[in-house]
Amino acid sequence: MKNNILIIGLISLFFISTSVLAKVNDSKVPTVTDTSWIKVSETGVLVIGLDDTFAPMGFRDAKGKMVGFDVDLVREVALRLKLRPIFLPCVWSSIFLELKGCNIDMIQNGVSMNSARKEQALFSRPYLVNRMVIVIAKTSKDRIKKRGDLVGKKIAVQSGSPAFDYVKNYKGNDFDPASLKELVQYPDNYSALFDLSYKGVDAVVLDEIVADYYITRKKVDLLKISDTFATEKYGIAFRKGDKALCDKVQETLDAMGRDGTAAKISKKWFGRDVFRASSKLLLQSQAKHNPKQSKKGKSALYLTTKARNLC
Amino acid sequence: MLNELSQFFTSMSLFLLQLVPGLLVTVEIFTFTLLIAIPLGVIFALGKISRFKIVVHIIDLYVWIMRGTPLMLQLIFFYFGAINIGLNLSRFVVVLVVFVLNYAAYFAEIFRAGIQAVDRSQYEGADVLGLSFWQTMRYIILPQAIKKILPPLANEIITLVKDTTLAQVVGVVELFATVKVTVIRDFVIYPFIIAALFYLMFTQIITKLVAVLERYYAHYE
Repeated sequence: MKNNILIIGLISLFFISTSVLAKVNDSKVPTVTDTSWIKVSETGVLVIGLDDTFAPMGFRDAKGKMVGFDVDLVREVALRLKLRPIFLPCVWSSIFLELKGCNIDMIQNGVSMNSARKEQALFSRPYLVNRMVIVIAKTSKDRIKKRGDLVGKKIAVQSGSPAFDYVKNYKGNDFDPASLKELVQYPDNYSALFDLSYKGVDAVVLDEIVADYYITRKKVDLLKISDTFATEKYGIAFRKGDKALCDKVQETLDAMGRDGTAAKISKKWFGRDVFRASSKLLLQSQAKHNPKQSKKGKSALYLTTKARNLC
Repeated sequence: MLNELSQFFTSMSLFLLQLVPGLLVTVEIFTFTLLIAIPLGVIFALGKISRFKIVVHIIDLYVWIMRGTPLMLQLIFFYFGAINIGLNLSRFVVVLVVFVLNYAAYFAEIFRAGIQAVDRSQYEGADVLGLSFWQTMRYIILPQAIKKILPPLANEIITLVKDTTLAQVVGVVELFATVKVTVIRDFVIYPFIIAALFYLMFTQIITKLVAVLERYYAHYE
Protein backbone atom coordinates (compact mmCIF):
# COMPACT_ATOMS: atom_id res chain seq x y z
CA MET A 1 0.00 0.00 0.00
CA LYS A 2 2.90 2.32 0.66
CA ASN A 3 3.79 1.99 -3.01
CA ASN A 4 0.36 3.28 -3.98
CA ILE A 5 0.96 6.56 -2.20
CA LEU A 6 4.36 6.90 -3.75
CA ILE A 7 2.92 6.38 -7.22
CA ILE A 8 0.10 8.85 -6.67
CA GLY A 9 2.58 11.35 -5.27
CA LEU A 10 4.88 10.97 -8.27
CA ILE A 11 2.03 11.31 -10.73
CA SER A 12 0.71 14.47 -9.11
CA LEU A 13 4.23 15.88 -8.88
CA PHE A 14 4.64 15.20 -12.60
CA PHE A 15 1.43 17.05 -13.45
CA ILE A 16 2.28 20.02 -11.28
CA SER A 17 5.78 20.36 -12.66
CA THR A 18 4.70 20.04 -16.29
CA SER A 19 1.99 22.65 -15.88
CA VAL A 20 4.42 25.05 -14.25
CA LEU A 21 7.04 24.45 -16.92
CA ALA A 22 4.47 24.92 -19.66
CA LYS A 23 3.61 28.32 -18.30
CA VAL A 24 7.21 29.43 -18.12
CA ASN A 25 7.83 28.30 -21.68
CA ASP A 26 4.76 30.03 -23.06
CA SER A 27 5.83 33.37 -21.75
CA LYS A 28 9.02 33.43 -23.73
CA VAL A 29 7.21 33.46 -27.05
CA PRO A 30 4.82 36.42 -27.21
CA THR A 31 5.74 40.07 -26.96
CA VAL A 32 2.99 41.56 -24.85
CA THR A 33 1.55 44.81 -26.16
CA ASP A 34 1.04 47.42 -23.49
CA THR A 35 -2.68 47.78 -22.90
CA SER A 36 -2.34 48.90 -19.30
CA TRP A 37 -3.78 52.38 -19.76
CA ILE A 38 -6.58 51.23 -22.05
CA LYS A 39 -7.69 48.61 -19.54
CA VAL A 40 -7.64 51.02 -16.62
CA SER A 41 -9.49 53.76 -18.49
CA GLU A 42 -12.09 51.33 -19.81
CA THR A 43 -12.94 50.07 -16.33
CA GLY A 44 -12.66 53.60 -14.92
CA VAL A 45 -11.08 52.25 -11.77
CA LEU A 46 -7.54 52.63 -10.50
CA VAL A 47 -6.58 50.13 -7.80
CA ILE A 48 -3.85 51.39 -5.51
CA GLY A 49 -2.10 48.95 -3.20
CA LEU A 50 -0.83 50.28 0.08
CA ASP A 51 0.00 49.37 3.61
CA ASP A 52 -2.81 51.27 5.29
CA THR A 53 -0.87 51.58 8.53
CA PHE A 54 1.93 53.69 7.09
CA ALA A 55 1.31 57.08 8.66
CA PRO A 56 1.63 59.71 7.24
CA MET A 57 1.71 58.30 3.67
CA GLY A 58 -1.43 56.20 3.84
CA PHE A 59 -3.44 55.32 6.92
CA ARG A 60 -6.92 55.59 8.43
CA ASP A 61 -8.24 58.52 10.43
CA ALA A 62 -10.38 58.20 13.55
CA LYS A 63 -13.45 57.62 11.39
CA GLY A 64 -11.79 54.86 9.40
CA LYS A 65 -11.33 56.94 6.25
CA MET A 66 -8.17 56.43 4.18
CA VAL A 67 -5.99 59.53 4.49
CA GLY A 68 -2.36 60.54 4.06
CA PHE A 69 0.09 62.33 1.81
CA ASP A 70 0.26 59.61 -0.84
CA VAL A 71 -3.48 59.06 -0.61
CA ASP A 72 -4.19 62.76 -1.23
CA LEU A 73 -1.74 62.81 -4.15
CA VAL A 74 -3.19 59.75 -5.83
CA ARG A 75 -6.79 60.92 -5.24
CA GLU A 76 -5.96 64.10 -7.16
CA VAL A 77 -4.21 62.12 -9.91
CA ALA A 78 -7.23 59.84 -10.27
CA LEU A 79 -9.61 62.82 -10.30
CA ARG A 80 -7.68 64.40 -13.14
CA LEU A 81 -7.57 61.14 -15.08
CA LYS A 82 -11.33 60.69 -14.46
CA LEU A 83 -10.76 57.44 -12.60
CA ARG A 84 -12.22 56.17 -9.36
CA PRO A 85 -9.41 55.36 -6.94
CA ILE A 86 -9.79 52.17 -4.92
CA PHE A 87 -7.34 51.70 -2.08
CA LEU A 88 -6.56 48.07 -1.38
CA PRO A 89 -4.79 47.45 1.92
CA CYS A 90 -1.91 45.02 1.47
CA VAL A 91 0.69 43.51 3.71
CA TRP A 92 3.87 45.41 3.02
CA SER A 93 6.21 42.42 2.86
CA SER A 94 4.24 40.88 0.02
CA ILE A 95 2.98 43.98 -1.76
CA PHE A 96 5.10 43.39 -4.88
CA LEU A 97 3.56 39.93 -5.20
CA GLU A 98 0.14 41.58 -5.15
CA LEU A 99 1.29 43.86 -7.95
CA LYS A 100 2.60 40.96 -10.02
CA GLY A 101 -0.52 38.97 -9.24
CA CYS A 102 -2.62 41.78 -10.76
CA ASN A 103 -4.58 42.44 -7.58
CA ILE A 104 -3.50 46.07 -7.79
CA ASP A 105 -2.50 48.48 -10.57
CA MET A 106 0.12 50.44 -8.69
CA ILE A 107 1.82 50.92 -5.34
CA GLN A 108 1.96 54.46 -4.03
CA ASN A 109 3.04 54.09 -0.45
CA GLY A 110 6.39 55.76 0.08
CA VAL A 111 8.17 53.07 -1.94
CA SER A 112 11.93 53.59 -1.80
CA MET A 113 13.45 53.05 -5.21
CA ASN A 114 16.31 50.62 -4.87
CA SER A 115 17.90 48.40 -7.48
CA ALA A 116 16.25 45.21 -6.21
CA ARG A 117 12.80 46.75 -6.50
CA LYS A 118 13.57 48.26 -9.90
CA GLU A 119 14.08 44.73 -11.14
CA GLN A 120 10.65 43.78 -9.90
CA ALA A 121 8.65 46.80 -10.96
CA LEU A 122 8.50 49.80 -13.25
CA PHE A 123 8.93 53.06 -11.35
CA SER A 124 7.71 56.58 -11.95
CA ARG A 125 10.25 59.37 -11.58
CA PRO A 126 10.94 60.01 -7.89
CA TYR A 127 8.51 62.43 -6.26
CA LEU A 128 9.96 62.75 -2.79
CA VAL A 129 13.35 62.54 -1.12
CA ASN A 130 13.40 60.90 2.25
CA ARG A 131 16.24 60.62 4.71
CA MET A 132 16.93 57.94 7.30
CA VAL A 133 17.11 59.92 10.51
CA ILE A 134 18.27 58.98 13.98
CA VAL A 135 15.79 59.87 16.71
CA ILE A 136 16.36 59.85 20.45
CA ALA A 137 14.07 60.54 23.39
CA LYS A 138 13.89 64.21 24.27
CA THR A 139 14.65 63.39 27.89
CA SER A 140 17.63 61.18 27.03
CA LYS A 141 20.82 61.89 28.98
CA ASP A 142 23.03 59.95 26.57
CA ARG A 143 24.15 63.04 24.66
CA ILE A 144 23.83 61.34 21.30
CA LYS A 145 24.54 64.16 18.87
CA LYS A 146 26.13 62.44 15.91
CA ARG A 147 26.48 59.02 14.37
CA GLY A 148 29.75 58.36 16.23
CA ASP A 149 27.98 58.63 19.59
CA LEU A 150 26.02 55.46 18.84
CA VAL A 151 28.97 53.25 19.77
CA GLY A 152 27.92 50.82 22.51
CA LYS A 153 24.25 51.87 22.26
CA LYS A 154 21.12 49.92 21.47
CA ILE A 155 19.39 50.91 18.24
CA ALA A 156 15.96 49.76 17.12
CA VAL A 157 14.81 49.55 13.50
CA GLN A 158 11.92 48.06 11.57
CA SER A 159 12.96 44.60 10.36
CA GLY A 160 13.32 44.27 6.62
CA SER A 161 13.21 48.05 6.22
CA PRO A 162 15.84 50.08 4.34
CA ALA A 163 16.79 51.60 7.72
CA PHE A 164 18.01 48.20 8.85
CA ASP A 165 20.12 47.74 5.71
CA TYR A 166 21.61 51.22 5.94
CA VAL A 167 22.67 50.78 9.55
CA LYS A 168 23.93 47.25 9.10
CA ASN A 169 25.94 48.03 5.96
CA TYR A 170 27.16 51.49 6.92
CA LYS A 171 30.79 52.06 5.95
CA GLY A 172 32.43 55.20 7.28
CA ASN A 173 35.14 56.28 9.62
CA ASP A 174 32.83 57.78 12.24
CA PHE A 175 30.71 54.74 12.97
CA ASP A 176 31.07 50.97 12.79
CA PRO A 177 27.83 48.93 12.93
CA ALA A 178 29.69 46.18 14.77
CA SER A 179 30.33 48.55 17.67
CA LEU A 180 26.64 48.73 18.52
CA LYS A 181 25.57 47.04 21.72
CA GLU A 182 22.50 45.70 19.96
CA LEU A 183 20.54 46.25 16.75
CA VAL A 184 16.98 45.41 17.73
CA GLN A 185 14.51 44.55 14.96
CA TYR A 186 10.82 45.22 15.39
CA PRO A 187 8.04 44.32 12.96
CA ASP A 188 6.77 47.94 13.01
CA ASN A 189 8.21 51.39 13.50
CA TYR A 190 5.75 52.16 16.27
CA SER A 191 7.01 49.24 18.37
CA ALA A 192 10.54 50.58 17.99
CA LEU A 193 9.38 54.05 19.05
CA PHE A 194 7.47 52.63 22.02
CA ASP A 195 10.65 50.88 23.10
CA LEU A 196 12.50 54.17 22.76
CA SER A 197 9.95 56.05 24.83
CA TYR A 198 10.22 53.39 27.56
CA LYS A 199 14.03 53.62 27.37
CA GLY A 200 14.46 50.03 26.20
CA VAL A 201 16.69 51.30 23.38
CA ASP A 202 18.78 54.45 23.02
CA ALA A 203 17.90 55.44 19.47
CA VAL A 204 15.67 54.50 16.56
CA VAL A 205 16.60 54.83 12.89
CA LEU A 206 13.60 55.41 10.64
CA ASP A 207 12.22 57.42 7.71
CA GLU A 208 12.25 61.16 8.30
CA ILE A 209 8.67 61.54 7.08
CA VAL A 210 7.46 59.07 9.72
CA ALA A 211 9.51 60.73 12.45
CA ASP A 212 8.18 64.15 11.37
CA TYR A 213 4.62 62.91 11.57
CA TYR A 214 4.98 61.72 15.16
CA ILE A 215 6.99 64.77 16.26
CA THR A 216 4.97 67.56 14.63
CA ARG A 217 1.46 66.15 14.45
CA LYS A 218 1.35 63.77 17.41
CA LYS A 219 3.68 65.74 19.71
CA VAL A 220 5.66 62.67 20.70
CA ASP A 221 8.77 63.67 22.69
CA LEU A 222 11.37 62.69 20.14
CA LEU A 223 14.41 64.51 18.88
CA LYS A 224 15.95 64.19 15.43
CA ILE A 225 19.73 64.48 15.44
CA SER A 226 21.45 66.14 12.50
CA ASP A 227 23.37 63.11 11.23
CA THR A 228 21.43 60.80 8.94
CA PHE A 229 22.10 57.37 7.54
CA ALA A 230 21.08 57.68 3.93
CA THR A 231 19.00 59.56 1.44
CA GLU A 232 16.53 57.70 -0.69
CA LYS A 233 13.95 58.49 -3.31
CA TYR A 234 10.30 57.55 -3.29
CA GLY A 235 8.58 56.54 -6.48
CA ILE A 236 5.33 54.96 -7.61
CA ALA A 237 5.63 51.31 -8.59
CA PHE A 238 3.84 49.80 -11.57
CA ARG A 239 3.93 46.38 -13.13
CA LYS A 240 6.80 45.92 -15.55
CA GLY A 241 5.44 46.56 -19.00
CA ASP A 242 2.68 48.89 -17.83
CA LYS A 243 4.52 51.86 -19.27
CA ALA A 244 1.42 53.53 -20.72
CA LEU A 245 -0.23 53.73 -17.31
CA CYS A 246 2.99 54.87 -15.69
CA ASP A 247 3.38 57.68 -18.26
CA LYS A 248 -0.21 58.88 -17.75
CA VAL A 249 0.25 59.08 -13.98
CA GLN A 250 3.65 60.75 -14.39
CA GLU A 251 2.21 63.45 -16.70
CA THR A 252 -0.55 64.20 -14.20
CA LEU A 253 1.87 64.30 -11.30
CA ASP A 254 4.13 66.69 -13.21
CA ALA A 255 1.17 68.98 -13.89
CA MET A 256 0.28 68.94 -10.19
CA GLY A 257 3.84 69.92 -9.37
CA ARG A 258 3.66 72.87 -11.81
CA ASP A 259 0.31 74.30 -10.67
CA GLY A 260 1.11 74.06 -6.96
CA THR A 261 -1.40 71.35 -6.02
CA ALA A 262 1.33 68.99 -4.91
CA ALA A 263 2.93 71.70 -2.80
CA LYS A 264 -0.42 72.33 -1.09
CA ILE A 265 -0.87 68.66 -0.23
CA SER A 266 2.70 68.50 1.02
CA LYS A 267 2.26 71.52 3.31
CA LYS A 268 -0.87 69.93 4.74
CA TRP A 269 1.04 66.82 5.84
CA PHE A 270 4.56 67.96 6.58
CA GLY A 271 4.27 71.70 7.17
CA ARG A 272 6.75 72.23 4.35
CA ASP A 273 6.89 71.66 0.62
CA VAL A 274 8.59 68.31 0.37
CA PHE A 275 7.60 68.04 -3.27
CA ARG A 276 9.53 71.10 -4.40
CA ALA A 277 12.32 70.71 -1.85
CA SER A 278 12.88 67.32 -3.38
CA SER A 279 12.98 68.49 -6.95
CA LYS A 280 16.42 70.12 -6.65
CA LEU A 281 17.92 66.94 -5.27
CA LEU A 282 16.08 64.99 -7.90
CA LEU A 283 17.54 67.03 -10.74
CA GLN A 284 21.01 66.21 -9.50
CA SER A 285 20.26 62.55 -9.15
CA GLN A 286 18.56 62.30 -12.52
CA ALA A 287 21.74 63.39 -14.24
CA LYS A 288 23.31 60.22 -12.91
CA HIS A 289 20.24 58.12 -13.50
CA ASN A 290 20.76 55.32 -15.96
CA PRO A 291 17.61 54.57 -17.92
CA LYS A 292 18.81 51.14 -19.02
CA GLN A 293 16.88 48.50 -17.20
CA SER A 294 18.54 45.39 -15.96
CA LYS A 295 17.26 42.22 -17.53
CA LYS A 296 18.61 39.69 -15.10
CA GLY A 297 16.80 38.46 -12.04
CA LYS A 298 13.38 38.03 -13.59
CA SER A 299 11.79 35.33 -11.53
CA ALA A 300 9.68 32.49 -12.79
CA LEU A 301 6.86 34.14 -10.90
CA TYR A 302 7.13 37.20 -13.09
CA LEU A 303 7.16 35.12 -16.25
CA THR A 304 4.08 33.15 -15.32
CA THR A 305 2.20 36.33 -14.52
CA LYS A 306 3.11 37.79 -17.84
CA ALA A 307 1.98 34.67 -19.65
CA ARG A 308 -1.40 34.91 -17.99
CA ASN A 309 -1.82 38.42 -19.34
CA LEU A 310 -4.63 38.92 -16.85
CA CYS A 311 -4.15 42.58 -16.12
CA MET B 1 -14.09 68.42 34.06
CA LEU B 2 -17.44 67.52 32.56
CA ASN B 3 -16.22 68.75 29.22
CA GLU B 4 -13.13 66.55 29.40
CA LEU B 5 -15.18 63.57 30.40
CA SER B 6 -17.59 63.98 27.51
CA GLN B 7 -14.64 64.43 25.16
CA PHE B 8 -13.13 61.19 26.44
CA PHE B 9 -16.37 59.32 25.89
CA THR B 10 -16.79 60.73 22.38
CA SER B 11 -13.30 59.67 21.32
CA MET B 12 -13.68 56.31 23.03
CA SER B 13 -17.03 55.57 21.39
CA LEU B 14 -15.55 56.63 18.06
CA PHE B 15 -12.70 54.17 18.64
CA LEU B 16 -15.03 51.35 19.65
CA LEU B 17 -17.23 52.03 16.63
CA GLN B 18 -14.18 51.65 14.43
CA LEU B 19 -13.51 48.21 15.87
CA VAL B 20 -16.89 46.86 14.77
CA PRO B 21 -15.90 45.80 11.22
CA GLY B 22 -12.75 44.10 12.54
CA LEU B 23 -14.69 42.38 15.28
CA LEU B 24 -17.20 41.10 12.73
CA VAL B 25 -14.39 39.66 10.60
CA THR B 26 -12.94 37.92 13.66
CA VAL B 27 -16.34 36.46 14.57
CA GLU B 28 -16.91 35.37 10.96
CA ILE B 29 -13.57 33.56 10.73
CA PHE B 30 -14.20 31.92 14.09
CA THR B 31 -17.78 30.79 13.41
CA PHE B 32 -17.18 29.58 9.89
CA THR B 33 -14.05 27.64 10.86
CA LEU B 34 -15.83 25.95 13.73
CA LEU B 35 -18.96 25.07 11.75
CA ILE B 36 -17.02 23.41 8.93
CA ALA B 37 -13.93 22.11 10.70
CA ILE B 38 -15.76 20.15 13.42
CA PRO B 39 -17.87 17.96 11.07
CA LEU B 40 -14.83 17.65 8.80
CA GLY B 41 -12.77 16.59 11.80
CA VAL B 42 -15.33 13.86 12.63
CA ILE B 43 -15.20 12.58 9.04
CA PHE B 44 -11.39 12.52 9.06
CA ALA B 45 -11.38 10.79 12.45
CA LEU B 46 -13.71 8.08 11.12
CA GLY B 47 -11.50 7.78 8.06
CA LYS B 48 -8.49 7.31 10.25
CA ILE B 49 -10.01 4.40 12.15
CA SER B 50 -11.41 2.82 8.99
CA ARG B 51 -9.95 -0.36 7.48
CA PHE B 52 -9.10 1.33 4.16
CA LYS B 53 -5.34 1.69 4.51
CA ILE B 54 -5.05 4.21 1.65
CA VAL B 55 -7.55 6.55 3.35
CA VAL B 56 -5.66 6.20 6.63
CA HIS B 57 -2.37 7.08 4.93
CA ILE B 58 -3.79 10.11 3.12
CA ILE B 59 -5.33 11.47 6.33
CA ASP B 60 -2.06 10.79 8.17
CA LEU B 61 -0.15 12.79 5.58
CA TYR B 62 -2.67 15.63 5.71
CA VAL B 63 -2.62 15.81 9.51
CA TRP B 64 1.17 15.63 9.49
CA ILE B 65 1.44 18.62 7.16
CA MET B 66 -1.28 20.77 8.73
CA ARG B 67 -0.12 20.21 12.28
CA GLY B 68 3.55 20.25 11.43
CA THR B 69 3.76 23.67 9.79
CA PRO B 70 2.88 27.08 11.25
CA LEU B 71 -0.59 28.42 10.45
CA MET B 72 1.00 31.73 9.45
CA LEU B 73 3.15 29.99 6.86
CA GLN B 74 0.14 28.06 5.52
CA LEU B 75 -1.82 31.28 5.06
CA ILE B 76 1.00 32.97 3.15
CA PHE B 77 1.73 29.85 1.12
CA PHE B 78 -1.90 29.29 0.07
CA TYR B 79 -2.64 32.92 -0.69
CA PHE B 80 0.40 33.66 -2.80
CA GLY B 81 0.47 30.15 -4.18
CA ALA B 82 -3.04 30.75 -5.50
CA ILE B 83 -1.98 34.05 -7.05
CA ASN B 84 1.05 32.41 -8.59
CA ILE B 85 -0.86 29.65 -10.37
CA GLY B 86 -3.41 32.19 -11.60
CA LEU B 87 -6.29 31.64 -9.20
CA ASN B 88 -7.76 34.96 -8.21
CA LEU B 89 -9.31 34.02 -4.90
CA SER B 90 -10.47 36.57 -2.40
CA ARG B 91 -8.11 36.75 0.56
CA PHE B 92 -10.99 36.15 2.94
CA VAL B 93 -11.88 32.88 1.21
CA VAL B 94 -8.25 31.75 1.40
CA VAL B 95 -8.18 32.54 5.12
CA LEU B 96 -11.36 30.52 5.71
CA VAL B 97 -10.11 27.53 3.69
CA VAL B 98 -6.74 27.47 5.45
CA PHE B 99 -8.28 27.85 8.90
CA VAL B 100 -10.77 25.06 8.20
CA LEU B 101 -8.08 22.72 6.86
CA ASN B 102 -5.73 23.50 9.74
CA TYR B 103 -8.30 23.13 12.49
CA ALA B 104 -9.94 20.05 10.96
CA ALA B 105 -6.56 18.32 11.33
CA TYR B 106 -6.44 19.07 15.05
CA PHE B 107 -10.10 18.18 15.51
CA ALA B 108 -9.59 14.90 13.63
CA GLU B 109 -6.95 13.83 16.14
CA ILE B 110 -9.10 14.88 19.10
CA PHE B 111 -12.13 12.99 17.76
CA ARG B 112 -10.03 9.93 16.94
CA ALA B 113 -8.69 9.86 20.46
CA GLY B 114 -12.23 10.22 21.81
CA ILE B 115 -13.65 7.46 19.63
CA GLN B 116 -10.82 5.07 20.44
CA ALA B 117 -11.19 5.81 24.15
CA VAL B 118 -14.69 4.27 24.11
CA ASP B 119 -14.46 0.72 25.41
CA ARG B 120 -14.49 -2.21 22.96
CA SER B 121 -17.42 -3.75 24.85
CA GLN B 122 -19.65 -0.89 23.61
CA TYR B 123 -19.11 -2.04 20.01
CA GLU B 124 -19.78 -5.62 20.98
CA GLY B 125 -22.96 -4.62 22.78
CA ALA B 126 -24.13 -2.66 19.74
CA ASP B 127 -23.30 -5.65 17.56
CA VAL B 128 -25.40 -7.91 19.73
CA LEU B 129 -28.30 -5.44 19.43
CA GLY B 130 -27.94 -5.67 15.64
CA LEU B 131 -27.04 -2.03 15.07
CA SER B 132 -25.33 -1.00 11.85
CA PHE B 133 -21.97 0.78 11.82
CA TRP B 134 -23.55 4.23 11.43
CA GLN B 135 -26.16 3.52 14.10
CA THR B 136 -23.42 2.37 16.46
CA MET B 137 -21.49 5.56 15.80
CA ARG B 138 -24.48 7.89 16.01
CA TYR B 139 -26.18 6.46 19.12
CA ILE B 140 -23.49 4.60 21.08
CA ILE B 141 -19.94 5.73 20.34
CA LEU B 142 -20.04 9.45 19.42
CA PRO B 143 -22.13 10.60 22.42
CA GLN B 144 -19.66 8.93 24.75
CA ALA B 145 -16.68 10.19 22.74
CA ILE B 146 -17.94 13.80 22.78
CA LYS B 147 -18.18 13.68 26.54
CA LYS B 148 -14.57 12.61 26.80
CA ILE B 149 -13.20 15.12 24.33
CA LEU B 150 -14.99 18.26 25.52
CA PRO B 151 -12.01 19.60 27.53
CA PRO B 152 -9.41 19.23 24.72
CA LEU B 153 -11.99 20.51 22.22
CA ALA B 154 -12.59 23.62 24.34
CA ASN B 155 -8.83 24.14 24.47
CA GLU B 156 -8.61 24.05 20.70
CA ILE B 157 -11.61 26.37 20.25
CA ILE B 158 -10.08 28.93 22.59
CA THR B 159 -6.84 28.73 20.62
CA LEU B 160 -8.88 29.38 17.49
CA VAL B 161 -10.18 32.66 18.96
CA LYS B 162 -6.63 33.89 19.34
CA ASP B 163 -5.36 32.40 16.07
CA THR B 164 -7.81 34.58 14.12
CA THR B 165 -5.26 37.38 14.62
CA LEU B 166 -3.05 35.58 12.07
CA ALA B 167 -5.47 36.43 9.25
CA GLN B 168 -3.82 39.85 9.02
CA VAL B 169 -0.69 38.34 7.42
CA VAL B 170 -2.58 38.10 4.13
CA GLY B 171 -4.24 41.46 4.56
CA VAL B 172 -7.54 40.46 6.15
CA VAL B 173 -8.28 43.24 8.61
CA GLU B 174 -9.57 41.50 11.72
CA LEU B 175 -9.94 42.89 15.22
CA PHE B 176 -6.27 43.04 16.13
CA ALA B 177 -5.29 44.68 12.84
CA THR B 178 -8.02 47.28 13.37
CA VAL B 179 -6.67 47.99 16.83
CA LYS B 180 -3.14 48.42 15.53
CA VAL B 181 -4.31 51.16 13.14
CA THR B 182 -5.13 53.43 16.08
CA VAL B 183 -1.89 52.53 17.88
CA ILE B 184 0.16 53.53 14.86
CA ARG B 185 -1.83 56.68 14.13
CA ASP B 186 -1.99 58.10 17.65
CA PHE B 187 1.05 56.46 19.26
CA VAL B 188 -1.00 55.30 22.26
CA ILE B 189 -1.14 51.92 23.96
CA TYR B 190 -4.71 51.78 25.33
CA PRO B 191 -6.16 50.09 22.19
CA PHE B 192 -4.16 46.95 23.05
CA ILE B 193 -5.80 46.81 26.47
CA ILE B 194 -9.25 47.10 24.90
CA ALA B 195 -8.36 44.35 22.41
CA ALA B 196 -7.26 42.14 25.30
CA LEU B 197 -10.63 42.71 26.99
CA PHE B 198 -12.44 41.73 23.79
CA TYR B 199 -10.53 38.46 23.48
CA LEU B 200 -11.05 37.71 27.18
CA MET B 201 -14.78 38.25 26.78
CA PHE B 202 -14.83 36.02 23.73
CA THR B 203 -13.05 33.14 25.49
CA GLN B 204 -15.21 33.62 28.58
CA ILE B 205 -18.35 33.04 26.49
CA ILE B 206 -16.83 29.86 25.05
CA THR B 207 -15.78 28.59 28.46
CA LYS B 208 -19.35 29.08 29.75
CA LEU B 209 -20.87 27.34 26.71
CA VAL B 210 -18.55 24.36 27.14
CA ALA B 211 -19.48 24.16 30.83
CA VAL B 212 -23.14 23.96 29.79
CA LEU B 213 -22.32 21.18 27.31
CA GLU B 214 -20.35 19.27 29.94
CA ARG B 215 -23.34 19.37 32.26
CA TYR B 216 -25.60 18.18 29.44
CA TYR B 217 -23.39 15.18 28.61
CA ALA B 218 -22.97 14.38 32.31
CA HIS B 219 -26.27 12.45 32.21
CA TYR B 220 -24.44 9.57 30.57
CA GLU B 221 -22.71 8.99 33.91
